[in-house]
Amino acid sequence: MKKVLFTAFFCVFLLCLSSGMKEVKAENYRYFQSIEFENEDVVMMDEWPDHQTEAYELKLPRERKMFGWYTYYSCKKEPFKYVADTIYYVKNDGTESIIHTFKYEESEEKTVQKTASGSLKVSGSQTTKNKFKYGLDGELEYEYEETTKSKVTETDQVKVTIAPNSTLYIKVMGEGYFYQGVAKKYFFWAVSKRGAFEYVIITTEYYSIEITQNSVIDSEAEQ
Amino acid sequence: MKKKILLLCVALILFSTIASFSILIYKKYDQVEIISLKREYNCVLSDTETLSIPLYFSKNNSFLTNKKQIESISIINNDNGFISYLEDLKEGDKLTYKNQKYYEFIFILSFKSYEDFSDPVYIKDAKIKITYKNGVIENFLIGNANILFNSNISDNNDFSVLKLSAVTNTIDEMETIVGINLALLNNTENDIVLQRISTKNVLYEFDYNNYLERCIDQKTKLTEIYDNYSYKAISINDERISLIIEPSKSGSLFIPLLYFSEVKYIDKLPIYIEYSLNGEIKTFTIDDFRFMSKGLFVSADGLVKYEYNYYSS
Repeated sequence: MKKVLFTAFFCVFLLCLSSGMKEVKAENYRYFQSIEFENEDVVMMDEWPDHQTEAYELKLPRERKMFGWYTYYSCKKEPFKYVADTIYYVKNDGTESIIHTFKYEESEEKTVQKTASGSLKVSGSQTTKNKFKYGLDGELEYEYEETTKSKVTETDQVKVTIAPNSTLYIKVMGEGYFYQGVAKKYFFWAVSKRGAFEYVIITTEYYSIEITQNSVIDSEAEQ
Repeated sequence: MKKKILLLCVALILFSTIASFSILIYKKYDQVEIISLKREYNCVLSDTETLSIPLYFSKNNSFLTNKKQIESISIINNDNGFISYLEDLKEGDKLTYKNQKYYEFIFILSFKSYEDFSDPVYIKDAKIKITYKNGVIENFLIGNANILFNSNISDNNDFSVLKLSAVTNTIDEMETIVGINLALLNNTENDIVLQRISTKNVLYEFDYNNYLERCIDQKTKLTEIYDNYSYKAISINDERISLIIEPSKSGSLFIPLLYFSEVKYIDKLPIYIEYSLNGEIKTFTIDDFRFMSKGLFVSADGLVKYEYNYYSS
């Protein structure tokens, strides 16, 4: 049975009253702190050697078509794990404990993240970037039930006590599937769009809290 | 000839009148399909916090999703319940389930009238009961709710949480929380003895017999670190932890979570800690933290489909 790979993305927004608070944006998969593929041969598009797109385009059918796309997957449904950068932290430089409340908004629209090169383009908001333009989306495989994707979801608030001279970190790790390939679009037998595409489907995210004493962080920073 | 024209005119006027009248009094038979998701609601709610409950409607223009038409709303089962206030009713995006389009509506509820409780209220097979101004009352199953109403859970300064994360395993093809990593800092000038760490939930509880005095990797399979480990249990021995945390020192532990009747998908959990300080038994509650996220439909324990038939003018 086809597994439903439909997930949630969790953003942490702030309701912060503390002056020591800072948000670090690391939502796009290309800016994850680390990404580890089960298959060590997988290379992200940003790291492709020169002319890799052209090399993969040779795998596309040679016959020209009146209208429509040819696509070739260089990798499909490759499992990966990632560690996102710290998405949120609050520093308490004071001498008293502070009770900090942070707010979560769960939104599933960021579970699919896409990148394109050449004349292929991705549309969507700055953070979501979740649509390939020119009808390419309809040609690609998404092994999850996009149709049951929810956009408005829950908001949670969590209260945490942060000791004096300490910093609270919210860390995110996750898992997903990686897809990559090249595509050509024909318009009256002429190539109108061409390039490489890449997308990830994030299936699970894991969240953790860590509070570290500032002296430890400061000494690490000095080193 | 004139007579015929006159008769025709009269017939036309009569027909127009009947047609107009029929249009005015005609009531359209209509049907709305509604989907509710059965989930585990583990929450600590202060008087400023809200509980969000998603429901999915096949139409977005019926009175069922009109906030102004809602008289009252509550979370109930056959024995118990809380009256709540509808803070907001947010419309989400359209989605398709089994070839039927649905509109997502999030019912955002608050429970302002409740005073602080020391224990959560458990509502098995909870329903959201919506009473409309036209007298219609609808109940939709939402799963199990275990809710603590308390606005002062963070007033305890004896501890600080240094680390909090979940260990997840896949059981019967479902990934869920099987234990918690926890590190606590003793902020006092005396020894603190941890005695009990609890979910205060009747469906799953921490296993006091198998805790480790260290944190473990988030993906560690419990069957690999405990001999003959079972994720399920009939009951938990009421033995107590006896982990001493010295003044200004921290203590780390991993404590497994056991499921009683069946394994559930849990993504969010408050943690209740009982400890002794200077001979006095005290409690410390860690707020409901969402440890993992897989999406509402994947995480649902089941979907319940309802049909509501009515005549609309």
